[in-house]
Amino acid sequence: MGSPRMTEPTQQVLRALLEDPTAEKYGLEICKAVGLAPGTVHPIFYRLEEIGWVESRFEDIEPSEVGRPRRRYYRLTRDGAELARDALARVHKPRRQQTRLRPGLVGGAAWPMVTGPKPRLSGGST
Amino acid sequence: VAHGDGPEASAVRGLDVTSECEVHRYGTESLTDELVRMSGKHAREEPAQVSVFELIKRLEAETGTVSEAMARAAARLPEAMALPFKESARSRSAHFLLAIAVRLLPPLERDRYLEEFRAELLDVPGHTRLTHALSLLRGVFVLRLRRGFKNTAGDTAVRGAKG
Repeated sequence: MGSPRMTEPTQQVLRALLEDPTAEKYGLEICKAVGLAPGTVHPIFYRLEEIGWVESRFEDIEPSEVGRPRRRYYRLTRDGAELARDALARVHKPRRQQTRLRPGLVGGAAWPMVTGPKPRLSGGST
Repeated sequence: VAHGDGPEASAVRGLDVTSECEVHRYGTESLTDELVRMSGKHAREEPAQVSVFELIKRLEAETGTVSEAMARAAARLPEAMALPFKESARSRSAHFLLAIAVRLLPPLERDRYLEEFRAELLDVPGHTRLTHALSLLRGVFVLRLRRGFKNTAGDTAVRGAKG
């Protein structure tokens, strides 16, 4: 099972689906819930379904009887829900844990950019 | 075999004509050229579509990319489509765009998405349908660019049926 690019819209869609992971949601309902255009949400569904995080089905009606096409409903798969939670948790790690630079990469005295104090330069007058 | 007279049929006819020469290139930035050419063929019966496609084409020249042009066109559609087009023309154009969007998907997935997208289109207010359809077209177009979908058996079958 692959993993999607965790763009901001993807995160929003996953969060909306995770609100009730067992509930089936109509595509348009998700668009409204997250405030994104259908042209943004459907490609995300497409990718999530492709990697098995999401499953979908048409509603169980007869279009000729109700006079409209069938709606398609989406929900997270069991594995998808777990993986989505993990992926969202990773995205939301404190920023300092993600952006710490490896020391010594560009030469000179390196230090943790966020978590540590800036070292004093020897001989400085400050 | 006739394709019928609805907007979907109109889109299919337009795509069939262009598919004979370069439908396999829809994954490139030539899409708006195709759209404008198609709309030219239906200018008399669907003037609203011509307006939409010309707007996309103009914006593409300004922005440099089709997807950005479509995004901006969606924002300007209410203004572009205000007059003199009737609601029915806008709705037909929305179905037309939707049919194009579906045709950009792999053949085996088209029926599913056509039904799904139509259901959604009918559930949004009439005055937002064109914007909705254009957004879907843009989404599928971008997806196609990233995934490299190719037109395969489905297009050939339709072309064959037409003759």
